[in-house]
Amino acid sequence: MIKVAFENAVKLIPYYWPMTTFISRNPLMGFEDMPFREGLKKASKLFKAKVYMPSSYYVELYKDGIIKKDVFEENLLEELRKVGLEEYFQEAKTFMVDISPSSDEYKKVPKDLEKDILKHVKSKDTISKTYYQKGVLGLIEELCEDMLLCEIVDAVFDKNYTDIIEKEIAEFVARFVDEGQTTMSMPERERGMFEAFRLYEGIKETSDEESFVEKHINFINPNNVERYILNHFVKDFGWSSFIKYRSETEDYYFQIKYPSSMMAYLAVRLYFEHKYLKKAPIRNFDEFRDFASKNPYYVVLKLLKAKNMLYPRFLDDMELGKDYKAIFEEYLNYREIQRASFLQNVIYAMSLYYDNLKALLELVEFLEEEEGYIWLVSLEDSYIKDLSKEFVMAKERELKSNLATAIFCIDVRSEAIRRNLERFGHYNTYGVAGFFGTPIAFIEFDKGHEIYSCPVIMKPEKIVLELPKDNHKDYEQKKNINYTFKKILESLKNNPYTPFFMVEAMGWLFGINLFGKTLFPGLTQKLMKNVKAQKPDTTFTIDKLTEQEIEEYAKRFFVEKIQEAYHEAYKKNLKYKDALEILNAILNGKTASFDNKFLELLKTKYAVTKEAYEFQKQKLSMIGYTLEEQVSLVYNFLKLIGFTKDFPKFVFLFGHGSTCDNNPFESALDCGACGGNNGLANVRVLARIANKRDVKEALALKGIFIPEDTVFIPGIHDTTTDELELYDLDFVPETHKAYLNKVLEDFKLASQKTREERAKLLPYADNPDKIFIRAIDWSETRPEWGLSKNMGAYVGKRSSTQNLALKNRVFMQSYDWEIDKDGSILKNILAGPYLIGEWINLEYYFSTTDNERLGAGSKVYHNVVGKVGVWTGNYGDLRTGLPYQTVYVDGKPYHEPMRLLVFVEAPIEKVMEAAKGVPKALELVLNEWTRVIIIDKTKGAAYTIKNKEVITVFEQGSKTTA
Amino acid sequence: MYYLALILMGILPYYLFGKNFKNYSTLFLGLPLMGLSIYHFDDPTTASTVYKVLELMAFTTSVLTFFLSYRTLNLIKLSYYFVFVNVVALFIFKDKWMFELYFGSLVFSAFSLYLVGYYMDKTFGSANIDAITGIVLKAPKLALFLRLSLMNLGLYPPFANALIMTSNIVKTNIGVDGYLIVFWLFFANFFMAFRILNSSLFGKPNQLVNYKDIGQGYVFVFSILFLVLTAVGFYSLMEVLL
Repeated sequence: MIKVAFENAVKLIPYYWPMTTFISRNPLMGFEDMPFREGLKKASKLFKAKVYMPSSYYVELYKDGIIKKDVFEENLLEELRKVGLEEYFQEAKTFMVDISPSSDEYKKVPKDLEKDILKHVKSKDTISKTYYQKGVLGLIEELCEDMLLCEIVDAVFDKNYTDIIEKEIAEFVARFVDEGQTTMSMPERERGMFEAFRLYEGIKETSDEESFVEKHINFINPNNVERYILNHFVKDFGWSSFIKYRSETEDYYFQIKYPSSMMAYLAVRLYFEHKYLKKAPIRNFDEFRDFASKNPYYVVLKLLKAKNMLYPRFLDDMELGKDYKAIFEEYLNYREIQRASFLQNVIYAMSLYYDNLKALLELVEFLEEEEGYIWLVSLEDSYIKDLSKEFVMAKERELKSNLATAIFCIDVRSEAIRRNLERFGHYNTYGVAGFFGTPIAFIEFDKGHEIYSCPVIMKPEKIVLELPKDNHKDYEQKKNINYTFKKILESLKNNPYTPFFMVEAMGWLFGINLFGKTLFPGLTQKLMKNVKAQKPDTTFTIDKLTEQEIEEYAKRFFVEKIQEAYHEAYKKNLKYKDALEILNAILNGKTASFDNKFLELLKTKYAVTKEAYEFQKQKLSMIGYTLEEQVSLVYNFLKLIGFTKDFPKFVFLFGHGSTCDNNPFESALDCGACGGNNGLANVRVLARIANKRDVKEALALKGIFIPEDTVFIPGIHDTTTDELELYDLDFVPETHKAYLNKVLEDFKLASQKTREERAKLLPYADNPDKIFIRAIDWSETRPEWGLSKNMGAYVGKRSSTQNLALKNRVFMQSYDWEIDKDGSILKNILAGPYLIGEWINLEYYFSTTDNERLGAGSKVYHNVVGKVGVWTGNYGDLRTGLPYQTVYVDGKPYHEPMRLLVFVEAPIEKVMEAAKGVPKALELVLNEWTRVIIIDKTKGAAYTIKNKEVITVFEQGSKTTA
Repeated sequence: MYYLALILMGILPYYLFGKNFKNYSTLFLGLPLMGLSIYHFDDPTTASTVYKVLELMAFTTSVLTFFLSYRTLNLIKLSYYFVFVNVVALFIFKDKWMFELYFGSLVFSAFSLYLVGYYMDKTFGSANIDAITGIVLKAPKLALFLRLSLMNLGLYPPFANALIMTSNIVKTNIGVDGYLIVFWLFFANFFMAFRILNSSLFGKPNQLVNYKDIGQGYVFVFSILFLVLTAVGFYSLMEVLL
């Protein structure tokens, strides 16, 4: 029974990725199956979060002309028509533009309060309505709906259980999910969250986690079990989101090592609640109901106080010990008068005629609920109106010469550098999701684990290893010295006695970095660079291993393990041949002649089993690509962006990454399409494959002729400094060197221009050169703006956007519908970049509308917890979303929150057909979680979808836009 | 007369008649000053047994008042409690003038706190420290004077009350019971003041309250109060240094 309630509750909780691979996601993803407006209403109530900006914000945009007057009026009228209030258009406009932003001015109680208004309030006000209809106990029930029992106890008896329980939960969870921050990690985590918790708390009972939860829920006995479980998850929204992600990502390294589940997490929460409430005046809802029925007015007043709904004057009355029923009735009366006064003042202010009170009251209530949405749609439509026209009318720009093509990530931050590069007249640029159609599990040189360098909605089928090209003695030496030094410091730091003299003797060493980074960041960075071991030149495992090679490597891997185990068991070395014999015996199941103890050691500690061997072989078979796969990879990539002809001498593939210091949200600035990683590995892999002669020959057979002298060069676009750095230049033949120098010069100039542009937008970065210092300044909360101010995505040809300065606000995915005969490319775009774009956009949206609830709050108070995220202060919930400094500046929002405006350049029929093939994308379009605008150049028109209907936004030849 | 002085300085009538504090509030802060005047013209014999009993009673009542102060959320009530908690200071000041200075400064600070509470009650509808939160953000001038009052009352150096107390410790020879009282006063005043600083000043503004900052008149009155307190503080500093 509990399972269904549990699963329904879990559905509404979003995922939250660990900070090392921060992924922007829609915090309301659990509501995406509902229309946007409805979903926001529900989520706002559940999470107690603001989902639109305050009206004063929109009015400012309206007065600045960003929200266009005609668009706003049209939208307002349309909304009024839906509820039959269109004749009150002027009143509605007055309310939204003049009254709502300064609503505090309308709260004064008038001398002649209209009885009809008061009567109306009595029937509409949530508290009054419930009280009159359901009585005081009904009201109590409603007030308790979103509360935990411990919160109710705290509210009613002025206790502090919730804080204690929350602290206990946070402490256990943080220690369990720790990914290497603590020096003494929690023991027995391998057993899983629930088992570890049982040991942690010394729980003797042996029931499974589900029965455990059921038992505690039954004891607490809430009215609505599903809602109660949800309340628990929402209480620590951040932890719930992270554990949901962790539990549902089976191949997440730490999940494999220390398994967790949402059910175990719920068990932890309920256990602590139950444990502390044992000592409380009421221990479950039965006792609470009993208490409430005996002291209903006291309870209702206390609950109202806890929910910050009780006016302060009534707190004084309670302190003076007045009769609670009288206080409550006085409160109700006061509340109704306050509301009625507000309504009366507003109605007087917005209407000259006072003939239809009922309709005016209805109008105010309607606008109070819907004004956020009306403003939002008007803001979006204002941009849609302007941009659609520009995109439809755009003409192609002629190139002076075709020296190079540069392909960047679709990330909004690539827009300015692309524009500045194109200005030279020798370059074409394209945009594609930053993993460049090359999803890989990447094992970096000298790292022991793989990272998924692809969008989180994909699982890579290929493993790529980074290997040193040649001898790397220098690297090894420096690394060993650094490692030894670090280990000594760590052991001195963690020893109970040594820190005393260590501070005296070696404390100054830390001072170099401390003062250096603060006073001379540039110099210190150079110094530290010399101290750190520099990665040698590397290459990648591009080609697939043969069956024999796989067999050989797998055997070598396991033989080494057997030799190690043998040494451990018998303190003797074992020859390769003998170890191989043992391995073969294990693989063939003929182990009778071997020592059982040794075999057990091999099985348990060294995982030398037939299954592990097969698994390893399967992993090895994932390394590299066959020639067909390589050809198909490059072919699909080029088709995806519509780059199938006119290949110049150079094709630059720019992944992107960022540079910053002391920033737990660093990966939020890296490439989202690469799973929050730097995109260099992907472009290096793709360039290596594309430069292969046999690949080019095979592509020619498929209709894409890449000249032999065309070189694909990988590089990285640093989004903080806008520097473009190239890699693997050994691909460039001597004949191209002079051209390359010219290109490099142009890159430098384009970077400088882009920095100048960006410096104007960054606070306190008056000169572009300061950007380099900001990137390494460890006190800088805004090394760059990230994707703040993102507003749209353009899926189409660059020629349509080339003449506009889109100011790093638009994702730009190159797409040529004429190449995409069957619509499959568009389907891929809708299934990938479109969904990721929606997540990014809505993460920024909600982090701006309510930074405290749906964002991460101020960076200033953040502390890293368990290397998985941050919390505010020294314990509490994991902070999800984006920090305040990412979306706000000087107390004002920098990001302009609106839904992603997705412009798709293709005939309307083609877009509709493709959308039908991607159900998730279709759902988001129809439910309006993004706005889709179809730029149909064949018809010279732009269309959008509103209320599930296609509307013409702009038509060439027509004077006005619809 | 001496006992009457004590009774008035301890605002005992408040406990007898002032349950409905909203109506009697102004009067009650006048009483300690009256008590102080009586005390000024009286000459108590400090060595008597009665004096020791009184000291113990005053200390016990101070402790009880401290606990009582934790049960109220009203700033006006708290301003009285500050006075009452501190009456026990009488027993550690050997120098009559210094005690008068301390008590006068205390009543002035308590009055400024009372004034803040009064303003909040009249303008925001209540002086409840749990409900009127985030004053720093919404009424910065009022918050400044509230902070100054609380720092004075909380015995934060270098404000007048703390300096007079320090001056007394340095200049006079107080016994073990005296040090116990000093320790108690620093502890009690600090925690009473800290509690308000924490909840009322720096919390999140309450949306049910129409915040409005103080006008020129209030600023003038507060400025005079704090000028006097600064002068007293400076005088005490000189006493410590010279």
